[in-house]
Amino acid sequence: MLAWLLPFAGCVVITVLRLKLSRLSAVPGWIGTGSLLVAFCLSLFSAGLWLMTSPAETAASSVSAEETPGIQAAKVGDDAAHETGYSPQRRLVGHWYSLAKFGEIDFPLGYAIDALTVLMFVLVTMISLAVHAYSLVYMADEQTESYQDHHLDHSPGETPERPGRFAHFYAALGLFTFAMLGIVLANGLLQIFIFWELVGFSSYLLIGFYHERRTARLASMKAFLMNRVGDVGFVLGMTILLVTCGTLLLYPVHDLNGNTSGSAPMALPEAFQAAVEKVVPSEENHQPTDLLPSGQGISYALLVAAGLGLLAGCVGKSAQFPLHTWLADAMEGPTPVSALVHSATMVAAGVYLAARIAPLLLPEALLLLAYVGVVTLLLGASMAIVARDLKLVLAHSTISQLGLMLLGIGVGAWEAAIFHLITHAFFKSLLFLGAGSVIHTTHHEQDLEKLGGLRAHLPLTSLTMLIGVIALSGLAVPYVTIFGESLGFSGFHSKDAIVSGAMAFVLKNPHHILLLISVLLGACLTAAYSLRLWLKLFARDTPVDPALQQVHEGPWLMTWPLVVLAFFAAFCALGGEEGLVSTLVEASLSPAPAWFSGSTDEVVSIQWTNASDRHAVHGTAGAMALAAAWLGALIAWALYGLRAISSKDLSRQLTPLVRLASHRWHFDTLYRGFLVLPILNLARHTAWIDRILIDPFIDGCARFSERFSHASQWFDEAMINRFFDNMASSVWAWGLSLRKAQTGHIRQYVLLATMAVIVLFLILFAWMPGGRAGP
Amino acid sequence: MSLGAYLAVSAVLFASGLTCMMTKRHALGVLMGVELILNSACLNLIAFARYTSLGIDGQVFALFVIVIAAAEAAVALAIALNYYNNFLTVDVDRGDELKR
Amino acid sequence: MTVLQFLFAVFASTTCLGAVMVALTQNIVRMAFWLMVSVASAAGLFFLLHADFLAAAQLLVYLGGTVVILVFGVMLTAGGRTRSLSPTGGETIVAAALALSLIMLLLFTVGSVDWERLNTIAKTGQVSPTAAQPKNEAEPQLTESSPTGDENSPVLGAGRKGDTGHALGSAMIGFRPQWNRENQLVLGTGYLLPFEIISVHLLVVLIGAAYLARAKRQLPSSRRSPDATSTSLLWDQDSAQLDSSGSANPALSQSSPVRDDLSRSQNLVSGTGFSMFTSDPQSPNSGEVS
Repeated sequence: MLAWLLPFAGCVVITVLRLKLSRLSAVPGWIGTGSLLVAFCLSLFSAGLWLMTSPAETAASSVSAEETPGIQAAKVGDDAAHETGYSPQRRLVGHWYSLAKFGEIDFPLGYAIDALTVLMFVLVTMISLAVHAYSLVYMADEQTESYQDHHLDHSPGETPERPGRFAHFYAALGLFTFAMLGIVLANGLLQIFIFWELVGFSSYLLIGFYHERRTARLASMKAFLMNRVGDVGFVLGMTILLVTCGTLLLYPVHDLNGNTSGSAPMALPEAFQAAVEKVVPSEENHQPTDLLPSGQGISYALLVAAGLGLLAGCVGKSAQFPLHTWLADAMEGPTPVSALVHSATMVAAGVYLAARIAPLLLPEALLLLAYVGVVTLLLGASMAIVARDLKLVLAHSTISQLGLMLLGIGVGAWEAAIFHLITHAFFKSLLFLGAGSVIHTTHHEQDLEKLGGLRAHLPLTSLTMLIGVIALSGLAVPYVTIFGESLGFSGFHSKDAIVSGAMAFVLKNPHHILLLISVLLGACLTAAYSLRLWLKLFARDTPVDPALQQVHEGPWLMTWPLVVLAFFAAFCALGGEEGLVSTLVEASLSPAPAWFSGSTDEVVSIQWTNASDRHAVHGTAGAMALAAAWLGALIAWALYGLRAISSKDLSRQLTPLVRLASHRWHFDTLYRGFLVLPILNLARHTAWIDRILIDPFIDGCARFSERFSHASQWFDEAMINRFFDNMASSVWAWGLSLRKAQTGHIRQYVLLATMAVIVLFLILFAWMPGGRAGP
Repeated sequence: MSLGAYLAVSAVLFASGLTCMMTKRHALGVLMGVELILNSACLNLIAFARYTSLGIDGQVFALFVIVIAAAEAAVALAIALNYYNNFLTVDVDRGDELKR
Repeated sequence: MTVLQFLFAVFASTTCLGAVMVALTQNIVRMAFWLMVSVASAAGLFFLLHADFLAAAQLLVYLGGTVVILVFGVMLTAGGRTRSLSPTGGETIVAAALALSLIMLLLFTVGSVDWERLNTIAKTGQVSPTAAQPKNEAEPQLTESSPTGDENSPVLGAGRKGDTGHALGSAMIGFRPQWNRENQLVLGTGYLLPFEIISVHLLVVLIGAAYLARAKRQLPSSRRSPDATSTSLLWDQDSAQLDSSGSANPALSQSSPVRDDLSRSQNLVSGTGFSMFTSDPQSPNSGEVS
């Protein structure tokens, strides 16, 4: 089961090592693609193996997917699991190597494999494989000794050249994929954090790939720093958890059948629940003031802070509301990189972690997460709808969709969130690769206003991107079912799941109705901007730019990934929430903690929902979401397709809003004004203080100590050394004088010894006459 | 024919051996002096064994002394040969290397 | 003057004469001869002391072994002149004075000790105020008689005087009857362990002596005569083939410091006397330890 991990690591090593190859050859790309292909096949094989070894669940899921709609599925699955004796959560957890051990606290390197892990492996390797293959064409112009960068700001008349970095690109790409797989595989927050940082670093490499461009440098640095801001929270949360729970493991070690060995340490969820039960006061003597202090020094607020800290890491990695600005700038990297970053790997890591640690999050943290997700959703959508850059639209769309996922986690529907993560990975990578295709064939033209009418020239790209757009916007044909299936692509199902989760949440907690409205608004906006993008790209009659007339489809390596991804984007969510993928996800995530389904919580008084609640509102929510999406699509169609309404007029009427959105809500300016400039000023003042005050002081200290050491040296030489010299020389002279007594003649020694004996005896007889015994 | 007579002979032997060791510059001369001294000790032991209650133990010790003397002679002769090899002389006065 | 006294006088006088002559003679060969005389006479004294086995051992070991080895060593090392090894006059005078004073001291000590009383004390375990007065008549009178060769003892004396071989052998293998304080014959501890130890000791000495005698000269260089670069002693050439330790490195010795004072005095020593060991007469004296 595990054997397929190792080849991939080997391939990654090869990927890194092949930097030595020639710049001109495409060999590194082929090696990387081949290794990914092997890894993908292995992970597919393992997924098959996983399904084979769990016949009960698979049967249950397949049966439920085809025949029994609704709530029956869960029951069937549960029954089957109980019959075969399988734990509902099958998980393979183990340790490879103990990194460090401090008393009770162990830091092992291990693995935790469950259905979600396998699924993520397939997903990541597939998308990464597609990106690798795609890049073989897209980055082909790097296979040269003198690459001319057209986007570089250079003085007119000269075109700067640099050696191509084809191998460099593939090495970074392989490292990136490897790190993401490490996150997916890891058991324990510390291990996740290690790979987390590795993902951040390799994304830094990739975003700053064109590091001759100033914007690329700034973007990579921005992404890196933004992630660091989140990682501070991550580290803090980890520390709190370590102190309170004593472990960082996510799951206890047990074998495939869930038999936990007796001496296994308590994993994080159980320990966390124990800590929570310790600090949360019981019902009857509950006082609001009891919340903060506690007996063991572990306060409830501290545990909330732990969850918030971990969430800060997720927010930073997934580019959520306060830290979302780096993702748009990350477009400076090559477009395949954007596809990888935005779909399967980097931003997915945040959501993935949030779903993994969701049982650790207390209601306050979850609520905050939900609102963060909503704000991000709306912000991203509004920015996407006014953006003119092709890739920028997609980037803001990613931000928005990630917000949707976090919202799903925040309202407790993390199965739905992961479900949406997977589907989103497919269609977003599809969209990015399609955009890359457009950009590549049009020679790096990214402005939507200049593009258009490409459908005739790029038929395959336009078709696949249409699939992606429909999946993204969650469109479906209402009330029409084919073979018991609602007619819709993957985004429809997953978005429905999240919307129904939010709706159930709102129904239980009516004062949070803002969440539902925002979600619906977001769905509407999503449909609008995605359709706008497609219409602007392909549906116009003629290209605005006559230079685009000669555009034609790229080679097969560029188009085939599109087709494959389009297929999955369309059908990976087959069966909706009862489908295979969703069931696998549900089977692997942690169950809701005990307090989760409990009645009311004291602080924010949230009524949590469970799966049955969500299923109850599923139909309504789906309809609402679908209506919102169709509304958005119609608006977009009216604006850009039929031109029934002049978009210019509309934008003129909404000038302040549009301007605000197109400036990305001035977040960059805000950060610059409130954070960057003050910090720069602070640094400047600190440097001044350093120079004026501290440096002279240090200099004075140094000078004083120098003088002192001079004096000390004089004292040493004059007094101490001379004293010891004199002593040594006197001892030497004494020894020399004594040496004369030692003649070295044995006979003389014998003579002296004899003399000494005689003298001794004489003395004896002289002083002890009583010793005589005889007369 | 008393114990004292034998002890007197032993004393003469001892003094002669000591004189040998004191005066002889030849390494083998010194060795002979040692032999004489051992011989005197041996004689002493046997005399005491004869005239006192020491009994057979004295003779046993004398036997040990003889054996030790033989062993010592062999080793000393080897040492003398080595000495000669290193110094090309048997003059013990030359063997003052450690002084320098 | 009985025969025994006469024999004692003869043996004692020859022993003393030999010892004194060993001390006085300067020729090493004559010293060896006088040593043989002295040792043989001492063996005679042993006979007089009823220690027949020890006397035989003395004759065998000393005369047959030790002295022969000595003579052999003398022949090896001093084939020629030894006159230069004679001590100076001052040394001789001092040594003679010391020896005489030592003899006088020892004789005085011997004469001034009441041996009989000491023996009684040692036997009875108590200090008797009246010297040499044995209280018990049945106690064997040990003074002036033979303690070891007790005629009446069936074990110790074996019926005759001087037959100590049997007793010594029994003692060596751990069977040693003795008289205790209460005048009873008990079986004491023997000398089996010392006997074994000294056997091994002898073996070790044999091996060590053979090794030492075979060890070759350490630094066979030619210090005083730079032209004589080869090691010239037959001894060295033979042993260099036998010994593979490689310590005889001529190149090492070339760098040793030259010591002129030693070379001068050794020129006196060396000469024709060493010609029997030298294959190359041009470099007769080429060994020295630094």
